[in-house]
Amino acid sequence: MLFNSPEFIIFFAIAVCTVAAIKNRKFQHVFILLASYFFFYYSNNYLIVLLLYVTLLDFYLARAISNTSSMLRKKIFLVVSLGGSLGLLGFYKYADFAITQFNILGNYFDLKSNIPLLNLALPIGISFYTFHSIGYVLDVYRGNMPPSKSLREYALFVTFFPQLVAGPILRARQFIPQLREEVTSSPILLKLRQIVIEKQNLKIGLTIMAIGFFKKMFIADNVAPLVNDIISNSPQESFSSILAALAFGTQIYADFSGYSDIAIGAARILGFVIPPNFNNPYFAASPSEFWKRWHISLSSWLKDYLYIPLGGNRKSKIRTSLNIMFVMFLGGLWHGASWNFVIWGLMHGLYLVVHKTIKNKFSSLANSYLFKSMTGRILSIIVTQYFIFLAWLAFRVKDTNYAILFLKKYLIWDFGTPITTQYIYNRKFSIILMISFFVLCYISYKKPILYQKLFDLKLRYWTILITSIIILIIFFYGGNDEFIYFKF
Amino acid sequence: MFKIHENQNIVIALSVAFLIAFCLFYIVLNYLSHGANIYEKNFYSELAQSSGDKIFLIGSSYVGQLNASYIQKTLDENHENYLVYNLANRADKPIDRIWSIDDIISAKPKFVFYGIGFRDFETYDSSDVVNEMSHGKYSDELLPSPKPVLENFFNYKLLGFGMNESPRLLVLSSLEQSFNKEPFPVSEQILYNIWKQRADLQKEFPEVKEGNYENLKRWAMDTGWNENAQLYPLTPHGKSPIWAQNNNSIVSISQSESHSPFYVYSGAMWTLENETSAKNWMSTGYFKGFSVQSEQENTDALENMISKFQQNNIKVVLFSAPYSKYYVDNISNVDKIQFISILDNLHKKYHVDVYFLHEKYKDENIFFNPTHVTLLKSGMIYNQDITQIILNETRS
Repeated sequence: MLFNSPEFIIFFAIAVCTVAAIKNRKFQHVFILLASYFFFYYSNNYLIVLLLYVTLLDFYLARAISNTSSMLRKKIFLVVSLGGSLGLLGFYKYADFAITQFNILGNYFDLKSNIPLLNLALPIGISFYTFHSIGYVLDVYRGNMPPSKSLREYALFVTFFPQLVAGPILRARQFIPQLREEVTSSPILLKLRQIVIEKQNLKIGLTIMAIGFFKKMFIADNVAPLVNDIISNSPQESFSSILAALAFGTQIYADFSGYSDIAIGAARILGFVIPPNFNNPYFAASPSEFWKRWHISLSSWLKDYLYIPLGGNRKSKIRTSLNIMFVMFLGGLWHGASWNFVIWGLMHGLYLVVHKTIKNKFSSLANSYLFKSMTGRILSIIVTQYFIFLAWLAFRVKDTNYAILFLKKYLIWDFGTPITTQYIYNRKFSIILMISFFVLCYISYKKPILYQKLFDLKLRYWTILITSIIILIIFFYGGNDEFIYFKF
Repeated sequence: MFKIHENQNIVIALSVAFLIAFCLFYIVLNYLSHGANIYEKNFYSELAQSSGDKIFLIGSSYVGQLNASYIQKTLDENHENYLVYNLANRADKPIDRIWSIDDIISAKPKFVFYGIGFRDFETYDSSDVVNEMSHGKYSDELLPSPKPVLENFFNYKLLGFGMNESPRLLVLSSLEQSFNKEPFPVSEQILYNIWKQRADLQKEFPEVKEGNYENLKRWAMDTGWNENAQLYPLTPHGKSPIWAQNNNSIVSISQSESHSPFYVYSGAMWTLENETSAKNWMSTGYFKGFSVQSEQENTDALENMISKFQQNNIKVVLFSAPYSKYYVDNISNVDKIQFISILDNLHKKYHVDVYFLHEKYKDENIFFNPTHVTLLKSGMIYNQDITQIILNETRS
């Protein structure tokens, strides 16, 4: 079920009203669980079996890990759990990609290998719910949290519908405690939390959701045609390549952060707090800062469960660099079974390594007057974002040869303008939206309390805000259905 | 628990927001978006100033495939002094067309040839869901799927139209777009892009070869293209200039645009290869049956238009749209009889001539999908027959 569909609006309204109407807290939780399964089943049909499989497998294995004192057994259970979840993800998401590469390689060596493709349906959200589940098992294994008390509680964590299909990637230790509340002052005596639709949460949640819809349906979907126009032709000059990068950067940020906002807002109305997934990423002044601001739930997941276990930066410089490259390679591959995502991941890996090397070699630079000044900060942002947007081209253009052409035109400037002028002329509205969106982002960057001000608006102004957003969405709906991250 | 008193103000505010937005939407939808858009209005008003007798071809996409340039040329050769314009609109139905009837009349055509298809009276209601599931749209689902049922309920029962596919929303967006649209020059780059995207064009016309762009340009110039020609923004359906086919060559942009101002074909340069490709199309393009409401509304609109045309001394001729066997053989005899009887009643009531083409070419390999004739040479038979009908009517 797409967030930007009338079905979801009605589904969500019914879900909130029902939760509010149910008095028994256990029934409330069961109802949200069933609603989440319905939400998933609606778009995935029989593939819901995979979700059930991951839930059952990791719930019981995490419990087994916790119950045994033998380190060997713990490790065996962990390996089985990781094998089960990653195997599922690998099989459904990467089997055909692997077969294709094998066939290509076989033909290269004249082995005449031609393994038929499996043509499997990609289960929506598989990358997200497997990561939820893996994170939970690893946390239990490391002793960071006790295993979930009941299957219902754990299933609700994995399937909670606002974040089920496109994140943010939740941590069990952040979410599961929100399902309980203290009975007395003792933190041990916990029972299921009564879900109350609080006035403040309702207003905050609705505001965040409205902003999410605005970003997705007004900005992203109306910038998408410009991106498609440029990408469907080979780049004739550098300006069109740069415009493609800027347009796609706008589209994907508005699209994905819009989705995250809707998810966060929907959860908030039900009284659950999901941490923000974005924090003005296009104002990052270094690649590492970018990853602290972009898809925060994924980057922190990769850091905690992959980069640090690999040794992080505790080993040699070369090993650290290799760790970064490996993590970013997998991060790219996580987005999809395609070389363009791998290239995108490796480009970011390279940025991080180069940045780290420069930082280590010229540590005094960071303390220099230039880099401490406003000019230095602006310069750093421009240079960083120049490369971040370069990587977006690799992310968006699937055909490798075509992507290389775009990257080349982006890096080696040969400014002609006739074609780009044509694009701009044909898609004036998209251009205006891009500029407006960057202005809004800048305001939000400079005024971090902007959201809070919106939440605190007097009801009459809040109504005007929501009405304006609904009008903009209805009248300027771009009509591009899917969220980009649904495919991942 | 829902804290009624605490939350009611927010719920009321939200309801008010939705109410205001949807009321505004409804007003625009019903009072502003209908009728010709600004570009179309300009077109009709320019036409009204022009001298000469005009023939208009109107209808949906199946009329859009008619090559007005070819018809024009044949009429000229037969010394019939008319200007032919193809005014087809994609997904057009009589209830949509009626909103621009006054604009059409203002342009004072002598004849209107109106193509009517099964789709003009087609329904979309919950009974279709069963059809859709059995026709493959959702047939890859192993378990029963609530999606089509709910989608259908929300879109068509509750809202009255599909949010994502409503022609009214398209018209609305075209209205918005039309404010931005002005003619722009057909640059060499546009020609280059068309050339790059038209692999099928190269197959069909050997003189247009890969790596031979200069030849294409010379050839395009020979057929009337020039770098300063004005390419009109062809609203609201597509962005690509038409490459309609003449008998022996391709009509240039500048020629075709003057004859087919509103309709653009960007993907009709092939024919159905086999039954499998036809079935692929059919998964989304089968006939869903008539509904009482749709049939009544569209028949009424059609009658109104015929009556208005006749009051203004414009002769109306109806013809049924051609279909391939993959489409028409899947329509029940009851529906076919119903369709014929609608047209027959119009013939009796208004004395309009009606030509039935819906099964005439069904076994011919002239379709690029089950419901549309290709723009390639093989599809010329449709143009030739329509031209002959026009000649019959103008001479009678």
